[in-house]
Amino acid sequence: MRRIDFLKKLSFTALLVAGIRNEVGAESASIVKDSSTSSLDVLPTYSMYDAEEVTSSLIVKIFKTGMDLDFFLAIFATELQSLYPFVENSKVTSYHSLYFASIRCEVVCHLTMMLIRVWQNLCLSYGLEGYDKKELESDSVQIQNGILEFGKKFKVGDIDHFIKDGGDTGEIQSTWTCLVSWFGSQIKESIISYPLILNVTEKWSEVEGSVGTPRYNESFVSEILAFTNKFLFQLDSIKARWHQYAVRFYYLNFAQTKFENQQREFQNSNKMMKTDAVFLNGSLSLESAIRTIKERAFQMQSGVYHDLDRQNQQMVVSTLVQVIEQISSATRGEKDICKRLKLSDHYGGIITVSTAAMATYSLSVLEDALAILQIERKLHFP
Amino acid sequence: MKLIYNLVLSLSSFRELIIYKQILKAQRKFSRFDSGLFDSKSEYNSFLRTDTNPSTALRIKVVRRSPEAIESRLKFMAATAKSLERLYQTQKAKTTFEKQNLLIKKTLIYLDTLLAITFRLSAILQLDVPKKSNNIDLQNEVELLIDEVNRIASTAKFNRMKLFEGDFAKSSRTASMWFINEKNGELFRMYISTMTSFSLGLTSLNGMHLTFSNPIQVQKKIDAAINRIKEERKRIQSVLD
Repeated sequence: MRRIDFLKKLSFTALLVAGIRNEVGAESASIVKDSSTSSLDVLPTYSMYDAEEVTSSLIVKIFKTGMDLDFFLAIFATELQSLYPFVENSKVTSYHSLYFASIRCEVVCHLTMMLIRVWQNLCLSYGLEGYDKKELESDSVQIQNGILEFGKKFKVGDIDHFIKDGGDTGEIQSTWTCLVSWFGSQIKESIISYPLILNVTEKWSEVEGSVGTPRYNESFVSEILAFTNKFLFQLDSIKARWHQYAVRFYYLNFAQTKFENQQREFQNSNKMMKTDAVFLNGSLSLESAIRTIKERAFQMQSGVYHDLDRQNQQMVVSTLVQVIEQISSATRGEKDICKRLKLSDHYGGIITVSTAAMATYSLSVLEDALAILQIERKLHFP
Repeated sequence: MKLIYNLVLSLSSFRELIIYKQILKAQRKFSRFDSGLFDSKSEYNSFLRTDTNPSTALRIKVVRRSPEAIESRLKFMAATAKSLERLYQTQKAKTTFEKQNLLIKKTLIYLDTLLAITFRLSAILQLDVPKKSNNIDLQNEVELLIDEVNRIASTAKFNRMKLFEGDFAKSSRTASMWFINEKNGELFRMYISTMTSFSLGLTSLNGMHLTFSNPIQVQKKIDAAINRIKEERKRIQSVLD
C-alpha cells in the first residue's frame, strides 16, 4: 500500500526535479535557456551557452548607444551581483552559492572578451576619421582600468581576476577553500583560479626605441593587437575553467537541493520510503548529467569547432564524470558507476568528445548508459 | 570612452565596417594621387589592416603612375568587407547550427569575391591594348589581383580555422568538415577546395603569375579557374539550401 502511495507521488517528484533547474536560477527567470533542450525531455541539461545568454540579456537590458564605458561596467556589475548574489566571507557555504560564484565569473570573462574585441576594433580604427595615437592610448588605458576594476568586484579568493603586476613569481594562483553541506555532512571544496596580468603600457615601453621613425605608430598598434590576441587566448581558457566549475557546482547543487527537499518531505515517513526517494534522486541527477554530456557530444560532432573548443568541452565531460561518481557514492554507495555505465574504463580513461569522430562514437555509449539507468528505475519501481 | 555600438549585436559587423572605411580611405588617397596632387616619382606607401593579426598589415605601395591597378584590388576588398558586414548583421553565431550557417555563408562571400576577381582577369585579357605602357599597367593589375586571391586564402578564417588553404579539401588528412543536419541530427560531410592562386592555376609551377605572353593558354587557365569557383559555389550553396 505504501509503495502504491509512493508511486502516486512519482509524477509529482518528476515535476519537482524538472523545476530544480528554475530553482537554481530563481532570480534569473527572465533569462532564456537553451532552446535545444527538447520540451519532451523531462530532465534539464546544462547548456554550453548559459554565460553567453546571461551576458547578452544583461547587455540588452542596460545598453544605450553612447554610454560611457565606466558607467556601463558599473551598471553591469550591479545587475550581475543582484542576479547571482555571492558572499565570500562565510567559510561554510552551499553548492548553490558556489554555482553562483562560478557562473558570474564566467560571465565576467565573457564580457571581458567582448571588451577586448572592442579594443581591437579601436586598433583597426587607427588613422580613421582623425583617430590618432593619443586617443588610442587614452582609450586603451581606460579599457584596461575598466576591466581591472570590473574584475575586482567579482574576485574569488585572495587575488583579483586581472592584475596589473604579477611580479616575478611565474604563474599566479588564487585559492579559496570552504565547507559545503553534502548529503547530511560537510565536505571541503576549493576553487582555484589563475589571475591574468593586464598591463599594456609595459608592452608600449618595448617599442619606445623606435619613437620618431615612420614605422613607430604601426608598431604601437601591432603591439596592442599582439597583446590583446594573447590575452583573448588566455581568457578563453580561464572562461572554460569557470564554466567547468559552474557545471560541477550546478549538478552537485541539483542533487543536494533535491536531497534537502526530500528530507523535509519524508521527515515523518519510514526508512524504506526515504531510501527509495534517495535512489530516485540519485538516478535522475545522474541521468541529467549524462544528458548534458550527450548534448555536448552531439554539438562537438560539428566541424565548426576548433581543437581548443573541443578541449574545453572535454574538461566539462571530465568534470561531469567525476560529479556522477560523487552523486552515485552519496545516493547509492556505488563508487564505480562510471565503469559500469562505460563512461570510464578500467585503465582510468574516460569518455571523450575531443574529436568529432570520438564525439559521434561517444553518443552511442551515452545512449546505452541512459538506457541502463532507465531500466534500473523500472526494476526498482515496477 | 563612449560605447557607440551594441556589444551583442554589432561587435563583428562594426569591425568589418571599420575595415571597409579604411579601404575607402585608401581609395580616396589613391584618387588624389591620380589627380596629380602627389609627385609621380615619389613612392607612396599605405598600411591597411584587414584583421587583428599584428603582423599582416597589407602594405600598399605605388611606384609607377598606376593607381588603377591598386584601386581595382581595393574595390574587391571593399566589396568583401561590405558583404561580411551585412552577414554579421543578419546571421547570429551562438548555437552550433547558426555557426554552421555562418561558416557556409562566409565561404560563399569569399567565393563571390574570388569569382569576381577571375572575371576581371578574364576581362583584362580580352581588352584590346595597343600601347606597351598600358600593357605594363594591366600586368601590374593582374599581379595585384592574383596577390589578392592569395591574401583571401591566407586570411579567410572561421573560428581560428583557415577556410581555403586545403584543411577542408577532399584529400585533406588534417581535417574534414562534418556538419550536423539541423532537421534530423544526421551528419554530412562538406568539403571546401583549396583556393590559392597556385591551386586555381593562376600561378605557374615555378611561382610566376600569369602573363600576357600566351593569351590563349592564359584564357584557358582563367576559364578553368572560373568554372572551378562556380562549381564550388554551387556545391556549397546547395548545402545551405
